[in-house]
Amino acid sequence: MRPSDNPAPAPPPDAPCSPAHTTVGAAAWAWSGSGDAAGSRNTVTSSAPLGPLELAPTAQLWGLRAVAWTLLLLAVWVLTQVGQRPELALGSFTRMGPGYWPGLLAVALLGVALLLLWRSHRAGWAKAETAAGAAETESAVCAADTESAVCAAEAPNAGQPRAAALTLAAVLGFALLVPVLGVALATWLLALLAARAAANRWPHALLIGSALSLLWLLVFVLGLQVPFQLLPPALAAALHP
Amino acid sequence: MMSLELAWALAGPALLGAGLGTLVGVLPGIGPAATMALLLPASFLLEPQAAIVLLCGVYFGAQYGSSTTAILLKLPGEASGVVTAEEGHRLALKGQAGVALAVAALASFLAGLITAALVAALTPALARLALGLGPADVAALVLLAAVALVCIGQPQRLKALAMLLLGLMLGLVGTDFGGGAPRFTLGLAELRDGIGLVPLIVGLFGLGEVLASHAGLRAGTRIAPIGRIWPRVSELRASLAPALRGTAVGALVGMLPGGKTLLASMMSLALERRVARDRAQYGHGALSGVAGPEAANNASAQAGLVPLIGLGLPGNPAMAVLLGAFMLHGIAPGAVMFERSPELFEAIIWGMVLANLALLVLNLPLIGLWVRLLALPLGWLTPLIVLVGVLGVYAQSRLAFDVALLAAFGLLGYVLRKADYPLAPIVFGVVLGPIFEDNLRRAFMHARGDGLVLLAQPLVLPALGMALMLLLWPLLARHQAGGR
Repeated sequence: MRPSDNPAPAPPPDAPCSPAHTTVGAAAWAWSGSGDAAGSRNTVTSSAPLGPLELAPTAQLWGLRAVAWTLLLLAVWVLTQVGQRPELALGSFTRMGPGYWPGLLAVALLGVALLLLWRSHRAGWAKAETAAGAAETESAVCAADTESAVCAAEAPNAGQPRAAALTLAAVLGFALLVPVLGVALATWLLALLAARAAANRWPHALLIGSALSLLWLLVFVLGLQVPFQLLPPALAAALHP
Repeated sequence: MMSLELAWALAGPALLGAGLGTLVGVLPGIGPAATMALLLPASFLLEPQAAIVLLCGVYFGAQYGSSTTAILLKLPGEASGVVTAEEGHRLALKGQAGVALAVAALASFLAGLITAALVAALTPALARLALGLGPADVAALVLLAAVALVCIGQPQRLKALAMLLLGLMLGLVGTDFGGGAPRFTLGLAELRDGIGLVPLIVGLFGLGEVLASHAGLRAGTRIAPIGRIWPRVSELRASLAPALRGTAVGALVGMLPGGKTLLASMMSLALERRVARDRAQYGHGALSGVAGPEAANNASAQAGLVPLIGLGLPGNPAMAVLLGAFMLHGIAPGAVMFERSPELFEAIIWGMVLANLALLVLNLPLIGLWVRLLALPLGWLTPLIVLVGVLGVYAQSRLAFDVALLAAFGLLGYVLRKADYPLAPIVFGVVLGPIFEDNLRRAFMHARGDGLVLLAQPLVLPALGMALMLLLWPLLARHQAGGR
């Protein structure tokens, strides 16, 4: 069960749920910590997988570590900044300087990141020790982290990272090109690439991209009256000297 | 009483929000927080009251809409629907889908009205209480809210804590209010006022969710027949008590920081299993198992407004986005808002009532329409969402830098989702971090460096005590479980 901030797409309702998944579900219910939720525990565990994350456990472990390492580096960077820069003076607890709160945060983040890394590695070792593999890893991660229910379906969406990368590139491209091309062209390119990323073939993407960019430009410019610079600035300057 | 003029001004946003909310509730893959985030920049162009009502409508609508697909397909479009799917889908398999849908909508409506009244009664009182607080009290209260956000209903405390700290760090960027010097701006002039809240929220919740659900947006196909819609009087009477109990549970959970709609409907289902009159029916399709949880998730969604408007403390991602909307319009929720613009709060309450009314109309006679939407060509949906996010962010500031920031936060949101980190604590940290630091430093300044004076402030000790209890609770529970 995922917290409501992140409704992952559910698998087909009748997807087979192996015993491994049930284990994970049971571990996940322990999060309430108090143990008085015993009634509801069985409720959801016994049912088909609901609202899971379509991600292989190893990939999740990898993601967990990548984020933890990034947080670690961030904390170290902030600490060095606080240590080096004169304008980030520490002061004291009762008379805090501009560097006190950042320093405090960095130390806390450092600790949390290290703890996360330690836990993820412990979960990884658990996996290495058991030949059974995925099931144990999952529950080990869960136990180590009082994890949410990750009833992981084994087939992650192939091509999904590629689609995400293309969409991101399109957004970044909009940011870079809009000062040069103006809003109209940049929006059209963005829509084109985003439509292509959503698994449309090129002719299809061309149609969808053109229609959607026209629609939204009409909504924003005519409907919401946003003063966009539609034409390329160079061209606009040439037209209205 | 609501003036006709006000009702007229709010009807449009309420209806639009309710419709959009139902849509995202029905469609799996994109949730209410993401939709609210994507609408955030556009809502900046509306009047504050209309903007808030629109965003609230989306949130409430998603609670209604998720029950539709939960019952018909056992495929909830939003997390809180998973509980309704339990008994609701079994009813649908028995050919009683229509009745289950109607009871779900009516129970949500009842819960919505009761909770709107509750919000109207409790919020001003809470804000008035907060009026006399000094900086030390405010800092302690923010600390308590942060601890509660990390501890309550959070499946993974350590990850939540990490995200809270990340948010607090992001909140550091910008000009230091004490000395006036820029901190952590990397020398960029665009960052002098801090990281833009709109690209942050739209990126983390909106774009991040779209990226993560690419190719995952796929609806099911086997739809149970709807059948008779209007419930019998006996069925209505049997659902009334569960709906009321669900409302009570939901309202309580919703007011806690970290209180999520999913938690509320789960608790309601657990309660109904014990006390409902038709508990022999559980596992075979019990109507009370629909009425209770549906009332609970709607009640908790709306009760989240009490701490948000009263104290400015968001309890979940959707409320964090709503807080962003308040900030964008230059309104600080809390006592100041009630002083400066009391009519805004009144408008929000009436907007809640109108949104619920709109949702009842949208959901009862038009159920068939929403179900048909599941066949929407999804190749159109993601580019449409990406476009509204990017253009919205760009329209709000007209800075290409903000769009680049949007891409960065979109990537961050994608990675964090994949690694299963909670996102709400980030926004909480970004928004409340500066407030906390400011109040903490001022508190010590007032006390002239004597920390003991601060402990004598009215709220400091209770708030710190409660925070400590929340932190130690799992240890105590584990100890008890071990002793058994």
